[in-house]
Amino acid sequence: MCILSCMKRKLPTSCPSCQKELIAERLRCEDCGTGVEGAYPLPKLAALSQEDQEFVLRFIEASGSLKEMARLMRVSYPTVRNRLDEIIGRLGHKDEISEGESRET
Amino acid sequence: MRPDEHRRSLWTWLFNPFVYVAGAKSLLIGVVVILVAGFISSFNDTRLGGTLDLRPGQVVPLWFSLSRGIVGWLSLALVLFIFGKLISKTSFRTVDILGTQALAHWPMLLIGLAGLFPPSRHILEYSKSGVVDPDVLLSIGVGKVILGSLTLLSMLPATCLMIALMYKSYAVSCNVRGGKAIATFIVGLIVARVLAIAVTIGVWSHVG
Repeated sequence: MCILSCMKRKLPTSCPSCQKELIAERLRCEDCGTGVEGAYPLPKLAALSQEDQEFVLRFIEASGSLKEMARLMRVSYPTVRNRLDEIIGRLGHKDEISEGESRET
Repeated sequence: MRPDEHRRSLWTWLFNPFVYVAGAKSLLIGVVVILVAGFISSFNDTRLGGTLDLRPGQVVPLWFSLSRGIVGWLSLALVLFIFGKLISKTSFRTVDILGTQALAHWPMLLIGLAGLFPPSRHILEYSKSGVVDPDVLLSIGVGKVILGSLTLLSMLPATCLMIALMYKSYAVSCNVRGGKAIATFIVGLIVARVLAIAVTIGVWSHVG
C-alpha cells in the first residue's frame, strides 16, 4: 500500500506552456543531499493519470490476473479488460491489442 | 458509500449491470430469467420471446413458449458475437456476450408479469379477436380497460430498457462503442429477428 500512498502528487509529464514531454533534469538524494544533473526521460507509465497508474499497480499486485482484478474491484471481467485495453491504447500499444491475443488469466 | 455514489451504483445496476456482472454468473441468471419469462408468458397467451417479440398470440405448448425465448436470445448473441469479432479491436470471451445478452432479457419478467394482471388479460383477449367492438370493451368495464391499457403501455418502457441493456451488453462484452457499434447493433437486431423467426418456424413445423 506504500506504493499507492506515495502517488498522492501527480508527477507533471508535459510542459504547461507547449504540452511537449518534460524530462527530469535534476535528481537529489534525500539522505545525503547529493544532486545529479542530466537529461532523464520520464517513464511512459508516468504519463498515465493517477487512477490509471493505481490500476496498473493493482494489476501487477494481482499477478496480472484479470479475474483477480475483477474480484478485487468488484466489477465484471470485461469491465476490467476494457479498462486495461484503454490504458494500453493510451500508452501507444494499440497495434498489439488488435492482434487478438488472449488475456484470460 | 456516499449517497451520490450509492445512487450512481443503483443507476448502473439498473441500466448497465454488466459493469458488475458478466460471464458464467450472468449466463446462469439470464437463462433462468428467460425460462421464467417464457413460463409466465405461457399463462397469459402472449408471444413473449424471439428477438423483441411481444404480442397477443395463440396458446402454444409450454416447451415452445420456453424455446422461443432461448432461440431469440441465442440468435441475437450469435449475430452480435460475429459483428463483435468483425469490429472490435480487442479480444473478448464468448461467455461474456452469451451471459450478458441473456441477462439483458430481465425486463421480459416485468412484461410477462404485466400480462398476467387481470385487466391486462382482458385487453389481450380483446385484442386477440382482431375485431373493434366498443360493446365488448364496455362489457369489460371502463375502469378495467383503462387500468389494463396503462399496464400494457408500461410494457413499452420495459421493452426500451431491454433494447438499451442489449446494446450495453454488446458494448461492454465486445468493447465496442460509437457509430459503428450502434449501426452494427441495429443491423444485428434485424438479422437476429429474421433468424429467430426462421428457426422458430422450422422448429414448429418440424415438431407440430
